Amino acid sequence: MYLHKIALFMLLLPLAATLSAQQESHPPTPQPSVYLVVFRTPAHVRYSKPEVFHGFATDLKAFLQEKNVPIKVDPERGTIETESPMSVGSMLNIARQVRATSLLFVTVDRPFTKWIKVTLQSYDLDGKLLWTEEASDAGSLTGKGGYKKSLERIEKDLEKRLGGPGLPVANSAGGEPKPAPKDKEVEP
Amino acid sequence: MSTFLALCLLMLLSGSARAQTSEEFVTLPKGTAIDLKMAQTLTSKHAYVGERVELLVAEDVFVGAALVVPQNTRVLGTVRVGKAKEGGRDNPHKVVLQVDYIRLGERRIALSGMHSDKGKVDKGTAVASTIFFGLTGLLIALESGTGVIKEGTTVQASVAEDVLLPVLPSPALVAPTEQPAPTPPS
Repeated sequence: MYLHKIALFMLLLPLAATLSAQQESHPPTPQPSVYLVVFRTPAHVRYSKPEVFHGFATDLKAFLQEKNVPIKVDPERGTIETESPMSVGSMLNIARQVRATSLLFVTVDRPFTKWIKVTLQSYDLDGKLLWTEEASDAGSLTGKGGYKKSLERIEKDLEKRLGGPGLPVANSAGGEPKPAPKDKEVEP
Repeated sequence: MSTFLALCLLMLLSGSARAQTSEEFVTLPKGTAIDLKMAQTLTSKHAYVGERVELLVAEDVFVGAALVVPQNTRVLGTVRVGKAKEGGRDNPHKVVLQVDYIRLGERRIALSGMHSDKGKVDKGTAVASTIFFGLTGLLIALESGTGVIKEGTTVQASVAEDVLLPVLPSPALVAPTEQPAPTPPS
């Protein structure tokens, strides 16, 4: 009887090993996560400072991290913060290679009549625009005030999209991102 | 009973051997020409020394019949001549890009230039046809006003040293992932 048990174990072991190897050869589906690219327009280069641009990128990242949005960090470049134009196709290619599931493309502009204008566009990996949010300020007395108001506005708009398409939220325990609540889904 | 046990042991050994990943490797030789494509536009108005630049592998790279580097794999370069610093007011009227390496998963495949007279290009040729990194690995764009290397410009570099790479599944077996994507807002 004892020998039969050993024999059964030995028969099942190779089967288990083969199954395990098959699982290893198929990497698991990546968890929902965002790849962030921040672009500085030529007008912002002309009329503002790099510190404002990088400051906005830092503040936005801090907000998203505080809200547990999983942001994929590119091991080569971290988050791309650039003045050099890049097509959405190229950004999506990087997003795929870092195994993110969506792209958040942020444009920081400085139109002539506004202190700052920020536009956030979320894309899925097929290049479909999921949503757009925009904030700007022209009424503040100083550039600092305009920046603050624009940041607050965009954060308020993003709050509504947390957990929805393109803006997943991980559990506070660092586990899997929460599924998107149906009432938060927004038409592109 | 002992024969039965021996048979089981044999099956165990063969099963374990099957379960092990049989990865095949080939050497991508030094000097192999690699077609690349600019994945962003680079202009002397904005490019600053030390800025990282994105390129892509334009075509699948094979060693014999074995695929080793798939199309659209990421390539990194660095601006060597441009503005002295980010947001600087200087305009060097020239941008010089150095190709660094292909990023293939966790690997880095070092790249260098090609022996060619086309290392220096003006805006017209940079847009129209394939251009080459010079022997030093530098690509130079000159223009009277602004140096520009546009996104999509095809360039060629070569593998800097022999590198052992795993053979990838044939492209015919890999589902295409690249989809046409919209361009960013103007």
